[in-house]
Amino acid sequence: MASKRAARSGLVFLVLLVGALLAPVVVAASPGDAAKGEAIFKQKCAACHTVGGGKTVGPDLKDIGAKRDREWLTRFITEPDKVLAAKDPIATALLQEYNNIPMPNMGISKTEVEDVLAFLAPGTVTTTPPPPTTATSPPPTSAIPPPPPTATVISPSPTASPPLPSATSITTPVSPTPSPAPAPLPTTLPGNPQTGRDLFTGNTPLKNGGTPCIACHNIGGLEGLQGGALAPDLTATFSKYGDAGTASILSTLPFPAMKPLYGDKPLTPEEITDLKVFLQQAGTEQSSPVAGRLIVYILIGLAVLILVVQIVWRRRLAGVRKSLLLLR
Amino acid sequence: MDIRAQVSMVFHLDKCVGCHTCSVACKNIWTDRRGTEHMWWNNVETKPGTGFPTLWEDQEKYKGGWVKKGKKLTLRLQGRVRTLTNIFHNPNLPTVDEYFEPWTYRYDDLFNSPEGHDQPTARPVSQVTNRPVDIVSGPNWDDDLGGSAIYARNDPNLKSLTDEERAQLRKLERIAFFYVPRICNHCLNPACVAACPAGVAQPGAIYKRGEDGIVLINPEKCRGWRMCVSACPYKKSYYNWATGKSEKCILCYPRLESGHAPACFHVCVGRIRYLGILLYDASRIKETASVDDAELVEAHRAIIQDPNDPEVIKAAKANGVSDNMISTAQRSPIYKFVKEWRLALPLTPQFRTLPMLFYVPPLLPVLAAVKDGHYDIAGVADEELRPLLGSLDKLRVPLRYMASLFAAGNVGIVEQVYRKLIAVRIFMRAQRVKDMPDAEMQQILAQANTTPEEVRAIHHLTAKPTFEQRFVIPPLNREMAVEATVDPYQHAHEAGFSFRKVIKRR
Repeated sequence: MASKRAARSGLVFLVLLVGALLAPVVVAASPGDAAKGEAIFKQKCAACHTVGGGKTVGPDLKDIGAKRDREWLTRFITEPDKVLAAKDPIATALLQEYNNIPMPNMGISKTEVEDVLAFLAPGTVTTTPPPPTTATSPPPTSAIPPPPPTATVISPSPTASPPLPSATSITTPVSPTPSPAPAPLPTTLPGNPQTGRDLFTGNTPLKNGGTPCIACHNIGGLEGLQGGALAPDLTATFSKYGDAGTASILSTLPFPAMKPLYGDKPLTPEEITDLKVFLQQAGTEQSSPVAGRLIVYILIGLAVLILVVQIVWRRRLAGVRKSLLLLR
Repeated sequence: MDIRAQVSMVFHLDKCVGCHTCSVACKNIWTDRRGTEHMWWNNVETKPGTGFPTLWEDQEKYKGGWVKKGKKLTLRLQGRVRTLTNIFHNPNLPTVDEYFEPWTYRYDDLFNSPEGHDQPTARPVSQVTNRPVDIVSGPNWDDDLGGSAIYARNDPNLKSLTDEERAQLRKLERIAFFYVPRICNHCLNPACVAACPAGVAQPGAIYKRGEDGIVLINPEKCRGWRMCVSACPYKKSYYNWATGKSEKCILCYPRLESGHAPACFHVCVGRIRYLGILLYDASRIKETASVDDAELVEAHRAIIQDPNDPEVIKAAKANGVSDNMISTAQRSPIYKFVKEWRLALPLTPQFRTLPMLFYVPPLLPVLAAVKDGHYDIAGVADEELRPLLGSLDKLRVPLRYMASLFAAGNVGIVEQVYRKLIAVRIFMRAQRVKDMPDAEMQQILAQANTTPEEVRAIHHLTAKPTFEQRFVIPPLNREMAVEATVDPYQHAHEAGFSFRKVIKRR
């Protein structure tokens, strides 16, 4: 029995090995698949970028192949955090132009970049073939979203540079440079802010089973214990990203930390509408930092606990012999 | 009638010299293991004193024993609901300070210290934490009235005395003390058994052994809730912090089963200890433990049955008590001291556990008279002991103290005991020195409610008993009892206090 099972698992292993060896041959042979690239673009880039649709959170990428060197593009798309940290002049200029919102590392592999570039900048040819180290990553398919990125795919060290917009960068007042996406005036947007609030706080569960936002985020206008302190305060999000930016972020939730939470539990279009209008409304409220309050609550809770223990077990036996010494 | 047999004990306090040999023998045999350093299954206390653990008699603090609520008898510790709510935190446990922090010395430092200008010392270190400790108390910290201004002064039994009597007890020329060796009393109504939470689902971790009444803890069932530690009013159940189990005196049952006296009995230098079988009526335990304080001693005597009564023998046999056990009970020195002579009394019977260890109160500190308000040895010699018979209320240690310790406050019972003890002494002295006219001797015997024959028997068993007369050990026939499950020869090798398998903390 055991030997038969071992033989079978050995066979499976062999098939996998052959597949893994063949995969890079297939991928390396093609310079990039524009259809695949479009799918990746829609999934990972469209939150902030358009092709010929004008500036939103990030630049319009129409004819980007003509504007930028292909090698620079490859490098920036795969590891924008490192490029920014290295004070690359083009990247720094772009950062300033686009409201100090850094491009996050989306965990796009070099083979995927080939596809994306085939879609964005057809005609240009890569000079360096993709390194074989990426060979083991499965070829992305357009229908199925890729599995949550593993640590090897995301930037290797979180301390190297912040891949996410930090809390300070969001809450700082909007820089005097003209916003690329002029924040729409608080005109009436579709959606119900109250429903959005319930979705945010978890009073109404998200339809696809995602974690309510409040678990990690705080936002202006919440009562009681307020939101979590694990992720940035979302009070200024709407005014910063604008209607289109917020909508695209909510639909893709492109940040690496949110991928594993919402990758297979996306928000529905109705939820996005409601949450967006709630975020807009919350932008007018004040939020207070969470950490300080939490310590106060913990201390109060501890004091209450000690008090209860002291009352419940106030007659416990203690210090019989020592009290004799004191009586003396 | 539900007649059962009980291995019972008498300690004759007049003979105790306070040498602690019993404690050391017990320690060396049973409690020299890790986790048992603070246990003294046998300890010797000085009275007046607070004992071990400190103030164990004060049940307002320790919540041991039983209380009578109307007709009901309940544990002072807690009912079943409180047992459940307190199960993870028993609030009435003595702390290590009430026992003492066990310590040893770093003897190695004496040999291994590098050469220097100073003499190396062996620092005391805790046996629990292994860190250096300042020794602030020990198991006999108030031995021989040491630290009496703190310890002896707070003896709970002194509450029965007047302020004047207490003040006199502290005067140097009036100071008196005596020793009370204590082991587990193997009670008829043990509070430790009743308090064991494991005992809610039968059978519990603590049980009273059917054939001889020894109260034992089954370490394989004990879950270490420690309710027995709190519930025992004598604080004779201890918690082993290393194994997470409770342990207590086992009356050296492996020795008893092979016909030997328990170690503390065997080694006793003053030969104060007696051991034998008593037959008692188990159907009357509740009734006996529920009487008023003043009647407790009488009721306790009444529950003990005459082993020569044919009715009792018949009932005992019906209950499976062996012929050997009955014939041993008929020779029991305990039956003589407790029931026939009415000399031995239970320790602090007001806790209502019906302890089966009895004490003959000490005559020695009492036998010293006061003349014109002064302690006067010369006067006693002049009057040839006679005033003692009439002046029991003027003794060095007042009778009320003894009554608090041995008779739940009933002075009459203690007085009877003392009259008889004094009569024995005067009678036997008169036999030798012929200093008492016959008429007066008759009067003394009548006052003590005794006869010359009884006096001679008491004198013999007190002063010159043989080993076999002190320890009338029943053949427990353990080899026959275990035959069904274990090879008796194998069992003989295995008898002892240990675990058949390695015990893990749960």
